[in-house]
Amino acid sequence: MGTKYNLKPNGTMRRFVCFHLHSFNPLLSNQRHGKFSVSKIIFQAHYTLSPDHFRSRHAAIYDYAYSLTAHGIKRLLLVLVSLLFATSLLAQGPVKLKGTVRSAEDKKLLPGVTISLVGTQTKATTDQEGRFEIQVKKEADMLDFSYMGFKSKRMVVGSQRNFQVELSPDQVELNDVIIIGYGQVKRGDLTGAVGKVNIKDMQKAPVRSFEEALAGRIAGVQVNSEDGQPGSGISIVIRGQNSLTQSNAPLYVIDGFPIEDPDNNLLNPDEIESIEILKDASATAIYGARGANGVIMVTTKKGKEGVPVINYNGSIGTQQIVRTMDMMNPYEFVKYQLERTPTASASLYLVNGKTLEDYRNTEGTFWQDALFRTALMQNHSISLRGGTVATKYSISGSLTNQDGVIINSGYQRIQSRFTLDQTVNKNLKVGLNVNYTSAKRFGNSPRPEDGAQFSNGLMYSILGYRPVTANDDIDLVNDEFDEDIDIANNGRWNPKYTAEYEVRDNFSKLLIANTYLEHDFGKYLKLRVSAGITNRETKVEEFNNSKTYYGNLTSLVGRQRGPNGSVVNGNVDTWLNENTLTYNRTINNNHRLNMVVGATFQEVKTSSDGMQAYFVPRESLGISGLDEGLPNRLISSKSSNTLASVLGRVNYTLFNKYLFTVSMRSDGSSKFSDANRWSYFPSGAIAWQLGREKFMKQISFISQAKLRTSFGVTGNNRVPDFGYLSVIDLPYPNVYPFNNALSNAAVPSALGNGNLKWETTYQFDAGLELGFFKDRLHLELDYYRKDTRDLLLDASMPTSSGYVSTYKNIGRVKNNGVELTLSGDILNGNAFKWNSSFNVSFNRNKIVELTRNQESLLTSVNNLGVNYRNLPLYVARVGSPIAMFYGYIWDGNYQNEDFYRGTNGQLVPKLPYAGGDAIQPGDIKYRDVNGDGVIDVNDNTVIGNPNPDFFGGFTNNFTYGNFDLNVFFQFVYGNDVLNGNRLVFEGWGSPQQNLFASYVNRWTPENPTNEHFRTNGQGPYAYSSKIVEDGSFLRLKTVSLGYKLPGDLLKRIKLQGCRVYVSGQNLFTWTKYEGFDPEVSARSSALTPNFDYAVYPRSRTITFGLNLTL
Amino acid sequence: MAMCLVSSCKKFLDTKPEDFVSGEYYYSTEEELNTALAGVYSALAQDGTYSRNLVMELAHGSDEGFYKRNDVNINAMVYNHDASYAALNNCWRQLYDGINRANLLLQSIDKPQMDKQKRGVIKGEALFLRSLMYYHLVDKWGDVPLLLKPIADAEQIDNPRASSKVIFEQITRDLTEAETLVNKISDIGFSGRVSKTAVAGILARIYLKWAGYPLLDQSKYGEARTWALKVVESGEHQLAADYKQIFINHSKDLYDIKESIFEIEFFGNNFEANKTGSRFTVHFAIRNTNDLIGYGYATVGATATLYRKYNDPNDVRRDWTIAPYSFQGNNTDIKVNKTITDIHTRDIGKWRREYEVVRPFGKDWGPANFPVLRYADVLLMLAEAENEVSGPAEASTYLNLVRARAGAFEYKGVNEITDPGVFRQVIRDERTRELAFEGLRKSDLIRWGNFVQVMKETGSDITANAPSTIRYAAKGYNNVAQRHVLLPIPTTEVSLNRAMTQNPGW
Repeated sequence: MGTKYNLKPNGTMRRFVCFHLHSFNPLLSNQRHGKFSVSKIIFQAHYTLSPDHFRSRHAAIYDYAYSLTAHGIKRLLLVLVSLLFATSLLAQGPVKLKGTVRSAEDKKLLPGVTISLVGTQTKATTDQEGRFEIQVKKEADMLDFSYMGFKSKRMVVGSQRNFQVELSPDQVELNDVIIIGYGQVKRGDLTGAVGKVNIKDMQKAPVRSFEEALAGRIAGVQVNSEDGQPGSGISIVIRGQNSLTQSNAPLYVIDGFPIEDPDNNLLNPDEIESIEILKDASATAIYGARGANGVIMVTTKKGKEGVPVINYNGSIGTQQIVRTMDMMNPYEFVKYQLERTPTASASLYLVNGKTLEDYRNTEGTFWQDALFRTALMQNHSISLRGGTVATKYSISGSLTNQDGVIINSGYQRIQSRFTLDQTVNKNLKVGLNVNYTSAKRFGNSPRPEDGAQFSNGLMYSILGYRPVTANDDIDLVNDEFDEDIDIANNGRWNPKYTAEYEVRDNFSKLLIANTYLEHDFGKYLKLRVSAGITNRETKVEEFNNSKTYYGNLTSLVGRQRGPNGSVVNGNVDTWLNENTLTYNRTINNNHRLNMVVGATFQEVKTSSDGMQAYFVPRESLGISGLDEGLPNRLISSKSSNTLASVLGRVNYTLFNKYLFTVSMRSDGSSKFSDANRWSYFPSGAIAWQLGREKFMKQISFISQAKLRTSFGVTGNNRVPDFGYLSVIDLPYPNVYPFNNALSNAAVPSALGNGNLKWETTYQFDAGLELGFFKDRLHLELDYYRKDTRDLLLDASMPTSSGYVSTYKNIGRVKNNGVELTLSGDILNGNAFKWNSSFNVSFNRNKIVELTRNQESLLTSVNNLGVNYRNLPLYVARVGSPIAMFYGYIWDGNYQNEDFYRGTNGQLVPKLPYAGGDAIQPGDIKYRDVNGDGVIDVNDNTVIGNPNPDFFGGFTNNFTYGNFDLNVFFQFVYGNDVLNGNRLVFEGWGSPQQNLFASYVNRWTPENPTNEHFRTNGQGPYAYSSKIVEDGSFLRLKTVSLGYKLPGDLLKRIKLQGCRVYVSGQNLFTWTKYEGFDPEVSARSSALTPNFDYAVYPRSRTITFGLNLTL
Repeated sequence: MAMCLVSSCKKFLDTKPEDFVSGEYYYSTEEELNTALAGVYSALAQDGTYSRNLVMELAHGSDEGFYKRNDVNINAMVYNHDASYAALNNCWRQLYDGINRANLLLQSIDKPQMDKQKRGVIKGEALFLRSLMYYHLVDKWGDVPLLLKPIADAEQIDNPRASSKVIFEQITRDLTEAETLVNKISDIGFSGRVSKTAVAGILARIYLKWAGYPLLDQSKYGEARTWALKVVESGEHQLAADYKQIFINHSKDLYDIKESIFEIEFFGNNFEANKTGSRFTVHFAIRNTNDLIGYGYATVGATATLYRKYNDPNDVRRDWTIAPYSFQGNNTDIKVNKTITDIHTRDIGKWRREYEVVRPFGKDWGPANFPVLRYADVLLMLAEAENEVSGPAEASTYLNLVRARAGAFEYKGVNEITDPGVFRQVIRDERTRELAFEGLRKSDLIRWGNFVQVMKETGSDITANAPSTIRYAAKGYNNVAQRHVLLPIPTTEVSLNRAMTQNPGW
C-alpha cells in the first residue's frame, strides 16, 4: 500500500486497487473469511471512484463482493479509509469549503444535494444555484454527496477548497428521455406504459420503411405486413383490436404532428431519432378521441451543438425470393390432366404419337424462374448536422431504390429534410422542420383484383401457367396467351407479358412543414406555439396495352376495353395549430410539478379526381394517349373534417418516489352532429419508485423497482367525415334507362345517425419495472384490460329499413393481455460485450356484444372467384375473438370402407356427404358436425383461429473490439393462416392449369391416402380445415455485422468515424407453413385476417453498407 | 372574448359535405324529384329484383322451369335454401330499398314549387312502384312490415309485420289513386313508365292474388274483373300480331306499347361506365360459351311438363318459348335441332340473344327488358276473373283472343267448354303456355292452392321419364314441402328486427 494521500480521480487509485485485487485473488478462491473481507474493502474504495472500470475488468469479483451486505462493507470501509489517510494530515483546524454540484449528464446545477462529512454530524445542502459551503477539520476528511436519483459520491477534501462536483445519474436508463404527447419525461418519471424503440438496433435492418423493422421490437405491438411487395400495406395493432369494422391503426404523431393514416414509406428511417409507442390510457388519453388504438410518436433528427458533422450512410445489396413453390413437372402435369379431363386432355397431349411416358423426358417451363429475379436494393442517406448554442441546423437527404423480386416491380424514393432551431433571445426560441419526399411504387400486385376470378392476377399465372404443350403452333414462353385455353372464361395470361406491360405506377409526394415558437415567461412557464402543414399527393396510373389480359382484344375483359388506362389523383391536405403552456417547477427537491395546458386545431381536406378511357388508339403513348380513347369513368370527390381540442396534464412527483399523472383532453370533431360534437377523455396514473424506498435498498440485487398503474378513457373517431348525415347519391352505375336513354337516378345511400359519437375504450394497466444487479438486467411486465364500448360499427340494419348498414355506436369488445420485456447486459467485458433484449406479448380478444340480437357476423372474402364470393370464411361470434376461420372440418378422404354395395352393385356411402350424386372413394370428406346425416351449411364451424397465442422478438448485440454484431429474431406462435393457394393449386383450379407438386400424392385406388383427394374429388365449393395451416414462425429477421475502423487509421484518413457493415433481413424462417410466407394478410382488416392467396412473395435481403462520419 | 372563441370554434367544426347532398336538402326541385323517381324505378332493375333473383331463383323450380345444374349449391330453385340464402335476402333488401326510396320521395313530394299535374304524375308513379314492391313482398313472404314513411332514425328498425290484408287494402287504395294521376301509355310512348293501364292491370293481378290463397276472398274476383276490363276498354292495347316479335322487341330495345304494358328497362352490355344490363338475359339464354351469337348459361331448363302443355302442334308459342335447338358443342353459332322426342333437355328460347343489337355481347349482362305486364296477361286475368264471376261464356272470348294470336285452336264451337271448373284448368294451362318464364307461374300455382301437388307431379315425371343426365332435376321437386308456399324471412331481418317473426316451417 502506497502512501498516496492526495488522490486524483481514477488513474493512480485504479492502479493501486488493481494491484491489490490481483494479489488477493488466490485468497478469494481460498474462501477464508477474514482475508476475503479485505478484498471487499478494497473493492469498495475503488468503487467509489471508478466503478465502471472495475466492473469491466473484474466483473465476477465485483458481483460477488457486491452481493454481500452493504452494512458490513460500510463499517469496514470506515476502517479502511481511516487507515488509508491516517498519515495525510495537512491543514490544521477547521476550514470552510465551498463549491457547486451539477448533474454530470446535462450539467444543470442541482439544488438540494446533501453534503455530509463522513463520520460526523456535519451536513450541508446546496441552494437553488447548486452552491454549498461546509466546514471540515482536516484534509483527510471525506465528503459524501448524495442526491435522490443520483449516485452518491465521496471525495477526500485534500488541498481543494472550491469543489466542482458532478453527480452521475443513479441509473442511466431512468434518465432516458421519453417523448410523450405534448412533452417529454425521464423514463424514471414515467407513469404510463410507453415502449421506446431501440432505434440503433432498428436502423441496422436493411429496410425501406421503419414499419418493416418494427415487428417484434416492442411488447404489445403487433405488426403484420400484407405481403412482400415493396411498399405494400403494413398493419400495426397495439394491444389487440378494438374495432370490428373501423380502422384499428394507431395514431401517428410525427414530429408532434398527429396524423391518422400516413404513408410511412415516405419517411427515411435513417432520419428517425426516436420512436415511442404509447400504449396505456394514461399515455394516450392526451390524444383523446384518436388515442384508443395507441399512439406511435416518431421524432426526426435535428441539429446538435458542435462542429458540423457530415454523415453518410449507404448500402447496396440484393434481395432474393425466400422460397419457390414446387410445381408438377411435365409428366406429373400431363398425367393429372389426363385423369381430370381424359378426352380433352388426350387431344391436347397425346398427339403426334406422343405418349404419357414421353413427358418424363420433356423439359417444361418453370415459370417462377422466369418471373422471380435477384433484385437490387440501394439506399444512400447523407446529412449535415451541427450548430452553436443559439443556432442548430440539419440538412439531410436520401435516395432509395428497391427493385422487387418479381420483374418490373419496385420502389423508388428521393427525400430531403431541413431543420433549424434558433434561439432568438434568452426567452425566445423558434424552429422549422421541412421534409419533401417523392416516391414511386411500380409493378403489378400479383393478387387478383377484388371480386375478379381466382384466375385473374399475375401470381395465378406464374404458378398455374402450364409447363408444357404438345401443340407445335403454341410457343408457351413467347405467346401472349395460351390458345389451347378458353381465354374467354379464364384470366390466365402469359405472366411475362402481364408483368412487363401492365403499367401500375403509384406516385406519391409528401410535403411536411412544421414550425414552432417557444417563449419562456420567467423560470417556470413556457409557451409553445406550433403550426404545420402536411400535404400528400398521390397519383395512380394504370395502363393495359394490347399485350396484356386487360387490353388484348382476345381476352374476355380486353375485348370489352381494348388498350385502356386510367389516372387517379388523390390529395390530402392537413394543417395543424397547437398552443401549449408548460409549467415546470421543482420545490426543494421533494415536489416536482409539470403542468401542460393547451388548445389545438386541425383540419384535414381530402379530394380525388381521375379518369379512365377504353380503346386507346395509339397505345404506345400510354397514359398521355388516354385523351384519344373512349372516355369511360370519371372520378371526383371532396371532403374535409376538423378537430378542435383543449387538453391538460399534471405530472406531480413527491419525494422523487411517488409519481402522479392526471390528464384530460376534450375533443370537438366535425365528424359528429352538433349534439355529440364534444367529448372528454380523462386519465390518471400513479407510479411508485419502490426501489428508492429504504427497505428496498436491503434487497441488494434489486437495483430499481417501480410499480405503476393507470386508468383512462380514449376514443376512436375513424368514421367517414359525414357519417352522421343522410346521403343522397347519384352513384354512377345507378341510372335508369327510360326509353333506352340513361336518366340519372338518385338513391339514398346512407342513413344519417345524429346520435353518432366516439367509440370509447376504457383501459386499465398495471406495470412493474425491475432492475437487477445494478440494472444489468431489466424487466418490465405489464398487464392490461381494454374494454371498448359504443363500438363505432358499420352496423347491419334489418333491410326492411331500406338500409343495409349504418354507422352506430353498438357493440362491445374486450382485450386483455400481458406484456413482458426482459433486457440485460449479459457480458460486459472490456473486449467482448453482449446485450440482449427479449419481449413477448399475450393478447386475448373477445366480442362481448354485437349489434342488437346479432349473435355472429359472417364475412366472406372476394378473391377466389364467384363460387367462393358468398361463402363465409370468417365468423365473429359473441364470446369469441373478432375473427375466426369458419368452414367444414376436413376428415381426409372417403375410403373404400366408407361404402357398401347397394342392391344394383352401386357404391353407397355409409357416411353423410356434402351433396353430389356420385360420391366415390377418394372424395374429400367433411365432418357432419351436427350429426343430422347431411353435410350442409349447418355443419360449418370454427376451423381455425388467426389470433396468435403470443408474439415477440429477441435482439442481441455483440461487440468485440471494433466489431459489432446485431442478431434479431421475431416470433409469432399459435396463429392460423388460411392458405387459399392450396384450394386452387392442390386439386381444383381450372383445366390445363398446373398444380403444386404435393398433389402428386393424391388418392388413387392404389394409394388410398388421406392427404389429397382423388382427381375431381374436391366436392362442393367449401372452405375447410384442410387448408387452414399453423402460421407460427420464428424468423431470423435481421443480422448486421459491422466493423468500425480504428481511431489511428481514421486519423490518418481524416475521418471521424467509419463503419462498414453487412446486413441481412428475413434471413431464415422456421415454420410449418407451406405457402410463401406465414406472415401474410391478403385482405387486411380486423374481420378478415391471415388470408393467403396469390400474394407477392417475401424476399431475403443482404446488403453491404458504409457509414462515414466526417 | 370567450364567447367569440366559442362561436368561431363552432363555426370551425361545422363542416358541410361537398361531395353529396344530405337528405334534408334534397327533393327540393322538380328535377330532383324526377331523379329520385328514377331511383325508385332502378330498385326494380337490380340483381335481387327483375334483373335476376325475383324472376329466376325465386320464380323457377316450377312446372315450367328447373334448375339446370347438377351441383350442390344452395338455390331456391331446388328448394334447399334456408333463411340465409343470398338471393332471397337480395330480393327482400332491394324491394325495401325501393320502398324506402319511394317513401322519401313521397314524403317530400310537395316540397318543390312545380306544376300540379306533373307533381301528380311523379306521385302516381311512385305510389305504383311502391305498391308493386309490396305486392311482390306479400306474394313471396306473406305478412311483412308495411312502411309508408321513411324511418326517422337508425333506432326505428323494430317494424312488425302487417297482415297481408292490411297491405292489400293499402296498396289497392294507393293504386286506385295512382291510376288517376299517371299518364296514358299512348302519351308516354314506351313501355318503361307507369301508365294508367299498367296501374289497372297490376290492380287486377293484386285482386286475383287477394281472391286466391291464402286470403281466399272470393269477392275480389269482381274487382279483378273490373280493373282488367278497364284495361281492355281503354282502347290503348291490342295483341301483337306475332307472338315471337314481343320478345324479339325486348332483346332489340324496341317497344310495342299495344302489347307490352309495363316493362322493367335494361340497356347495354355493362361494358360502359353505367351498368344497366339485365342478368336474366344471359341466364335464360340458350347454352353457349361463345360470343358469336351471345353467351348463354341456360341456368333454367324448360320442363317436359311445359312442353306437353302445348295442346296444339300449331301453337307457335311452344317452339319459341322452349328452344327447339341447341348450339353445337355449346360454343358455336351452329344450331342443332333437338329430336322430337327430346323434350326434357331443352333450354328456354323466349329471349334469343342473336336479336340483340348491342355488341359485343355481355357475358353476364344483356339489354333485354323484362315484361312485367303484357296485354295477353290482362286478357287471361280477365278470363280467369270472368270465369269465377260468371262462368266460361264471356271468359272464353278473352282466352280465345290469346290462342288465336298463337295459332292455336280456340275454345269455341266443338271445343267450347261450359263447365267453369274445367274451364278454370284451361285458363291455368293457358297462362303457362302464354306467359312461361315471365315470372308468374309459381305465384299463380300458390294462389291457386295447388303448388305442392304440381311440384310433386313434375318431380315424378322427371324421375319416370327424363333421361338419366337430367334426372338429378327431380331432387328439387322432391324437396318441396308445404312451407315453400312462402319464402323464409331473411336471417338478417329476423335477427336484427326484434318485432319480426319467421314464417311457418322455417
